[in-house]
Amino acid sequence: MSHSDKKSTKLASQQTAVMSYLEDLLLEVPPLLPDLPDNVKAFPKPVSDTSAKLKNPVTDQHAAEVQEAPAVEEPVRLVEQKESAASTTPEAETQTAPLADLRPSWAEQEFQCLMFNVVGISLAVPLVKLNGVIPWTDDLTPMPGHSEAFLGLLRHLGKNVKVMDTATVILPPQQRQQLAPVEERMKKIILMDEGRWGLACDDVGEVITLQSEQVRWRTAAGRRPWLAGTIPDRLCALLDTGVLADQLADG
Amino acid sequence: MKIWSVANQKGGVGKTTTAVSLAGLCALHGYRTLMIDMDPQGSMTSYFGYDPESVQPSLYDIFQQTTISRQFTHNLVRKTAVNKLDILPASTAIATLDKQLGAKSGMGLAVVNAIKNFTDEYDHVFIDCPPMLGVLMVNALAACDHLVIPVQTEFLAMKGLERMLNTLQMIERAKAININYTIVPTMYDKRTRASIDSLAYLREHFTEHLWKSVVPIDTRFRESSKEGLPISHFRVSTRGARAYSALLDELTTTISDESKAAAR
Repeated sequence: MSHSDKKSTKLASQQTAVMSYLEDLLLEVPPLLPDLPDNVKAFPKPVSDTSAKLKNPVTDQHAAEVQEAPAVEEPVRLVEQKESAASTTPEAETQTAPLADLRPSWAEQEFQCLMFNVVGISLAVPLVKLNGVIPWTDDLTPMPGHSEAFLGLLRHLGKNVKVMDTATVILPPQQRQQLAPVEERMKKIILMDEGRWGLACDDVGEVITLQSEQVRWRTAAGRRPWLAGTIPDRLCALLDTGVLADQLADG
Repeated sequence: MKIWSVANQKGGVGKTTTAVSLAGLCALHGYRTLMIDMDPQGSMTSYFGYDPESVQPSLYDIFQQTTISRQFTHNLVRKTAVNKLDILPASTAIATLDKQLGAKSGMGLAVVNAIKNFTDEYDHVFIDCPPMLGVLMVNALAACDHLVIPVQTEFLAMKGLERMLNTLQMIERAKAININYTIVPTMYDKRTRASIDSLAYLREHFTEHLWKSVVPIDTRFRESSKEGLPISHFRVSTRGARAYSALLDELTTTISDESKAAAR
């Protein structure tokens, strides 16, 4: 076999590898689930094969317990949700002038994303913009006068995290009315923007590694400036957390 | 309870000496003090007469547990020859943790969770860190209220300091926290150009977090380790002991200010 025939091991960039390692180690495992096996609590390992199927990290003996939860491995209603939320609609694109380049700087090289689910919509956030994932808690301090998406303040590690209902942020008004109560939907809070904001979501999935060309980047600012692009292989929307944080801060 | 980690990604800069000296001074002042050895080399463990090759139970046992009871953590602690100064020893086996655990979710917080069991028993906890990034270093940084970074006053140590600060920044980002830190120039020898130049470099580039004074080179540190005593309990009037005493004053003032700022 010639030297060129050998398959080389593809590694993540140094910075991405270290950040991914640190985030896994520092993931706060829900203390209320002591009886679940480790592989249920475990944060999924980074994978470099973006065509790999989402894995359900549940052993047979606990299968019954998790059947009630949304199945991560099913791309639930992805196709129709892609129409409603995860893609840029033509009219949205044409409402504003096209921008020269909306590709974020973190996507210039290979990057990793954490996938998560919100009312059946598959979303992804870049790991470099992620500050942690914590279990959902009802212990939020409500703040009157804010938008309906604002669930309240959560005290976490000495900081006040503003927790948002991600579904309310991303869905159009008519679909928000059909949402189940918050306490029935939420399982996790994704911390971003240095922990100032928390995105409440149904569940988190695996970490995927992407090349920039695997994302269909937005080419114009539309009604969803927080949408960095879509990942066609995954039927998934990629969030630009920086823009989303700015948008949330602006109310 | 205040938790201090002593770390640098370069070896031989005085981490163990700094941790033991500060812990000894706290004990001398009447504070109930615990030292945790998280360095696989087990220097701190050896310092107090325990053998890292054979000591059991040790820090290693914390990583074997899924839930850690109060009784369990208390059984890990050993007495030292110094009143009010205890140690949770390291065993050589902790060197295998990275290979065994990989990046297993949540293992960077195993020590944080174990230390919570000591809240009522100790006033100060000093953690001696390993000189490389891994599950132990991440645990130590995630657990601490304040990080002390000893830096030997010589050129190669400056690079080690930059690596350490880079690691610190990434852990802050991963955990969405701020870790306050103090850089402590160590092994300062005013007779050498290397020490003078290195200190000048530190003062020029790291002013904000740099301790204003230095820990001088002092052969009494070696003698005190041979006796298994912190410098404060060996020769409290030595230059080295006086330097660490001044450092402790500065650190306790700093952490008090940080606590007040956090409470506001």
